[in-house]
Amino acid sequence: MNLYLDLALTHLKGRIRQTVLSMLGVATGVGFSIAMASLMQGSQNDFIRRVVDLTPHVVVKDEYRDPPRQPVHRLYAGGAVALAGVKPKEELRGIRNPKPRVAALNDIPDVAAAPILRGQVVFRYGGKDVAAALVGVEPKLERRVSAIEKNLTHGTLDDLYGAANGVILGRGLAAKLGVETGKTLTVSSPAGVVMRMKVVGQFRTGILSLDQGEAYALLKRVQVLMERPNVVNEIRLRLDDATRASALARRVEARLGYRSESWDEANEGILDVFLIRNIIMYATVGSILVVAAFGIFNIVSTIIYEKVRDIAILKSIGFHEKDIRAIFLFEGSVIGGIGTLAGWGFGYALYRLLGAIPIKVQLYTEMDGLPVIFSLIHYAIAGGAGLVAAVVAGYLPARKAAQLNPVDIIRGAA
Amino acid sequence: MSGHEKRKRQNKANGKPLIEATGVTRVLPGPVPVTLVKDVDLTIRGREFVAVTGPSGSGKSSLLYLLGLLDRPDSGQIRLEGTDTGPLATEALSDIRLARLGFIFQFHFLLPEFTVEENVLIPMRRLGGRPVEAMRERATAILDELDLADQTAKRPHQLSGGQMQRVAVARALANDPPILLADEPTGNLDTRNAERVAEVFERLVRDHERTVVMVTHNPELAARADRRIRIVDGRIVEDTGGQA
Repeated sequence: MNLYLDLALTHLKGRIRQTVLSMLGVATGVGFSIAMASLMQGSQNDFIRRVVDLTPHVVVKDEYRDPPRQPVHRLYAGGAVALAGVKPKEELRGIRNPKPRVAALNDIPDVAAAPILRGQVVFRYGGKDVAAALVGVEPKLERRVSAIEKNLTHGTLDDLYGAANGVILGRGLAAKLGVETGKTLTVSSPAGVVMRMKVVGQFRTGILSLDQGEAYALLKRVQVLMERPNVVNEIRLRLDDATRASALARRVEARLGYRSESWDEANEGILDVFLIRNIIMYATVGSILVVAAFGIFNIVSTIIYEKVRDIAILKSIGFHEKDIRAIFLFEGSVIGGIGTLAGWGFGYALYRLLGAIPIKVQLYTEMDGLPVIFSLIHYAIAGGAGLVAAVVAGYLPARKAAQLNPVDIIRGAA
Repeated sequence: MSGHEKRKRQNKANGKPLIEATGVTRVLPGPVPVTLVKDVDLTIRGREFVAVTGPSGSGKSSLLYLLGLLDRPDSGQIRLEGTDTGPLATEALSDIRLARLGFIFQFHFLLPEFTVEENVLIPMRRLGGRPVEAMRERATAILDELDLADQTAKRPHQLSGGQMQRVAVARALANDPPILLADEPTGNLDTRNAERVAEVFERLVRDHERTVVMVTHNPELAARADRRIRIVDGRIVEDTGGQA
């Protein structure tokens, strides 16, 4: 065995209880770090997966990123005269004549596009009024851009064609209304149009805001209900590769002029929350590792205090300062290394335990259990942090030990 | 013929200077600086058994640490086997101590968790360059020479004071250094064990052609040395065999 390692292990064996405690400190830090990371990353991935799976990757909206300038300002740009009381030009919102635009977008390789008209309506059934968003879709196109069809618990998307005024409700919305599939309810639009619609299906996405606040009907019916013929307010796009969404959104916006939002831009606020959450998580776990590092610092310092005579004799024999440093650095590293290995095992056990806990969570999304994921990166980060903490905690006293003057110690011992 | 053998023969042939101290002074810094060694000129030759004596605090041990390169002089020069050690880096001095010098202190300083054999092996393992088996053979031979052959597997606390000090001698001899420096080696021993250690030193000089420089308070032990140097207040006041 390597001489330095031999000396280091002998020292640690001499203080086995403190050594094991220090190792447990590192193991706890590393283990919790892994468990927390798998939980945080798992919930983040779960949310993103649901968002990416269920919602369009790019939404072209009937609005402009920068509000259009009023004609008077365009005409007298840079004029020195201030015009008071200018009445802004009223513009009707909506993407008019969407068909050619949708067709052009569908011509882009690996991209599917579908128009929708979304509007707030009030559903009435059995004396209950519930406000929700009614989304008018073309089922043939819609099934290519969203996973709504996969999430139907009753009926099919094509059932919208079958009934005269078919509607598919989110399960939460249906539950609020107390309506079942096959029943007919009344829908009122802000335009004052009232229509009786038959529930032909229900869906459940797991995203609460959708399940409790959204319903689907044929685009043409919704256009009638909203009194907006041949107008849509969104064109939804889905890509084979969701990571290209931002780039495509920029291209589409440049081409059509309408504000085009990718899924990550639309959920930017939530993704920022995830980032802050991760920072808090790593700061918490980092503090555990710092405490563990103090444990290592303490034991290595104690050993050095006890072994000053050994250090003196080793230096008088001819050991270099770097040799002495290596011995005590080995001690910190051995504690860190074994602690990290134990921490990996502990972290894996926690990951399995957390994943097995049956728990009903209703936050942004609906879950049946904690969404943990296994990622070797978590083990590498936690292990790396544990080892770095151990090496730093071992290095500081090791450097001091290496600088001890053997003559002073020998004189003191004599 | 190994390098060590060659060196032994050369030393035997010409008894040339191994350690040469010229005008060596060492002052302990502090609010009131203390002069430990003052303007010492000294030459130690091959195969000498030198006893350094003097009252407590006279600078005997300080001189030994300077000669053994454990400490550096504030002025003057120390040459070891012809090499001026002044300009050498700390690591180079450590390398010289490892291969060319052996230290024995008043306290044995054996590593308590290691066996007798393991303690003797430590300097050899640090020096390296030999298979482990060869190191073990050499350790066994040294321990046998010092009547410790049956103690190899014991730990220091299982030995008597005399045995522990002989193990310390064995450790000092591990890398076959030409010079042994002993600081009060019998200071903690009873008369019988002190006698045995003295015999070991005599044998090392007589039979193994080594040079021993020993600091001692013990006049009987000093009397057994070939050369006696007396120090008072950091200066050499008497040298029975000075050839500088």
